[in-house]
Amino acid sequence: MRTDNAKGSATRLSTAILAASLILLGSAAGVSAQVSSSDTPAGYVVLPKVVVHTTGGDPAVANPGGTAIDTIIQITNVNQAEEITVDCWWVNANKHCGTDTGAICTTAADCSPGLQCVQGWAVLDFQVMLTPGQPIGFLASSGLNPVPCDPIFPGPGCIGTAGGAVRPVPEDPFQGELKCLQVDENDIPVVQNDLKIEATIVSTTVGGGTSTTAAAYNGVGFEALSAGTEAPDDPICLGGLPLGSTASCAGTYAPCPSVLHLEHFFDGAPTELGGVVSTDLTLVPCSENLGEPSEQANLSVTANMLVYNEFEQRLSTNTRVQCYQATRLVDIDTPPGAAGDVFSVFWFGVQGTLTGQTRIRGIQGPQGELGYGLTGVACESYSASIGSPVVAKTASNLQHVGFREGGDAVFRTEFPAGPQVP
Amino acid sequence: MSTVKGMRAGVMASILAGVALAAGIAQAQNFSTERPGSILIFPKVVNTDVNTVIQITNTANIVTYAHCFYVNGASVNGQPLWQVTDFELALTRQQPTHWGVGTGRAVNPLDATRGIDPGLVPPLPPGFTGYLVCVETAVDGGPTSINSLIGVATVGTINGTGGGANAVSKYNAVGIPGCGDAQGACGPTGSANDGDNILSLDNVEYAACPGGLYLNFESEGGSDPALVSAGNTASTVSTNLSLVPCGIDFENLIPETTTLSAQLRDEFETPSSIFPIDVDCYFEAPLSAPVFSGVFTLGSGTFGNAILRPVLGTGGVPVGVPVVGVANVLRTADDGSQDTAATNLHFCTDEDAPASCVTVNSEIRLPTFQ
Repeated sequence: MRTDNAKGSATRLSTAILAASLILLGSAAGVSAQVSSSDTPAGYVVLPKVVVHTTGGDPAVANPGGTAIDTIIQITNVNQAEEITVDCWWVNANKHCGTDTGAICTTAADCSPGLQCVQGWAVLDFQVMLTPGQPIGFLASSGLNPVPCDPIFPGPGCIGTAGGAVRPVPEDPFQGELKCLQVDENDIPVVQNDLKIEATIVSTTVGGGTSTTAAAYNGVGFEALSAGTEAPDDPICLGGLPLGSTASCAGTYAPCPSVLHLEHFFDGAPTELGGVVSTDLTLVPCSENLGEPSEQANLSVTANMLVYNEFEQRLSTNTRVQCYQATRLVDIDTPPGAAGDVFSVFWFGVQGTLTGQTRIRGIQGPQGELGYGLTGVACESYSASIGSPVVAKTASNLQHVGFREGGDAVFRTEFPAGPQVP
Repeated sequence: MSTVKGMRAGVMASILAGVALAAGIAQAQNFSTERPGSILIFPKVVNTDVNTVIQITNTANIVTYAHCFYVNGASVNGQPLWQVTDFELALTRQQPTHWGVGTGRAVNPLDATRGIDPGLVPPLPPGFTGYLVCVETAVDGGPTSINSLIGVATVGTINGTGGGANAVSKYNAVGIPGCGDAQGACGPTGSANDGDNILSLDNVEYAACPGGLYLNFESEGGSDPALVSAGNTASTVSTNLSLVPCGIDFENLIPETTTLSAQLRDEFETPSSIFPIDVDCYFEAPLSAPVFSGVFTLGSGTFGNAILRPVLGTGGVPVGVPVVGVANVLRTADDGSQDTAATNLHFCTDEDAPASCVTVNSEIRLPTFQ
């Protein structure tokens, strides 16, 4: 049981030692009270992975028999007393043949001879107003227009007035992000933290067949800490201004984590649940230029990865993250496709254990207006054996360690005046 | 715990906290599902027709230890079984480890489960339904506030395409940080861990319990829009809720009980509520269970949000302790194929009415038989 003497003496002595330790060690790591999180409401929330491919896409999913995929998104105003306004951006990470207007592709092999499969970053924005405590949900492929409790879409319990519209993703198929920021009626960021967002990625066989999968994760939230300028050209700052930035902050939010932490099965590992597993990792930069996506293309973050197995053995690898990167773990350090899987540091046969942890850190690059923080989400695919169809999926938020001292910046677009029609 | 032992544990914790700060580790704040903590709670652990794989990692560059407790929360004749099984782990620096709860993990370097065995992890009997708690300790077994543990759980079963169910979901363990000191995870109220068997969740020794949870849900028993849009119609959605009281007495083996209320809104602001929701040691039920009286089956709209918090007494003070938990959503398509998706529930810390998620001090009592 607790004794006063033990507690008192231990506390005094340990406090003294801790203070001395901190003095000796300096404040390189520092202490932050607020950090990004996926389990508390926030003022700025990022969904790192949104995917869509339906029977209405171009190319369309085969009907029947093809595998359609869509993302259910739930946005909630947790403020039980006040309406809120939310600005959101779809960040389109699709590749296209030749130019942004070309066909959607994955590799050059998908394009006509002579055309390259070019990465294009495009942004589509929308704005919604949510009543106190209001939850909304929608498919990324269809959006939501009008929003429930809009004057033209009243419901039996509506007291407040919702408004705006959720635009659908700009393309089908689509892969990319959704970023949402709580603002006032003039699109100025507010120091309030009333947003929570969840995503569920659902795939199924069109018209019925053999497989349905579902994987859910929480949006990564950045708590609003303090107000800034009201200039629309100024970025919101995550932690602070990036090193070397000369801008001013339009609001300061919780910083990005210093290290992303992924607990995972090594790819190909047979699990105690049955079947084998493979993990997809999606990484996105914390910094974003939503106003000039072409500028975003110039930001490349090197992600350093330390991979530990259950023997405490460490291997390392790295990859470059440019706007959005979604890849199987085994394709991070080997060519895409199954041929090189067994040579990857993420392959269970290479590691010799079934599970491991990977610590991911964005490496500081040249100083400028954007920072080098990263965030992301991991998804697992389960199948009966290697190479057989995927029969179940999971998603989970990456864990966070520490926070980045060099801040990140998100430059916004100015929202167009007047009604927005999806 | 003796004065000397407690002091030793406190000194060790302080030194380690300093090391952790240097490594940028000690940034946890309040309860978290994504930051390292000194106490981990896995709210849903089952060994039924599905299995659970537990993964725990030491994120520090020093060896650490953990004292873990399985709690079988199954009810027998309406009474919680409250069967507790404990075991200890030792994790080297940065070491990840895992085990399937149905098989446990033996200390046998020659067996098929490769890696440094963290200690003997007992297998759970078939039918187990409950939760797992792991408390970070020093080598002498006394609790410490190093905040280096993270964990994830994977729940499900894979039978392939030849028949049988396929459903897997994954969630992060709830991490409770030790406060360390006034500049640590809990802010200025924080203090060092006293090393005794009473883990005070009070923002002094460990973070206090968040006052409530937000639960987002799709209408219970309704259809899933993604499945419907793909023509795999007649789909159904069902959410299973697992809740653990924020306060546990392993010393006297007294099941913690609390009574919750749920305040709901659908997309059209339609309010509803349900109480009492009695949590006796452990709670697990689908949202279609009689205790919820059908409030999660929405009359209008497909999506809803609920705040789960203890019933309030005089002056708006919570009568019992809050809970931590996880939601596991089962989607079944017309063709019979299905999958589950788990989400960590957001913490509600808005203490003002009408949310009224008032932070509650509580404690976890460890056994003193060692």
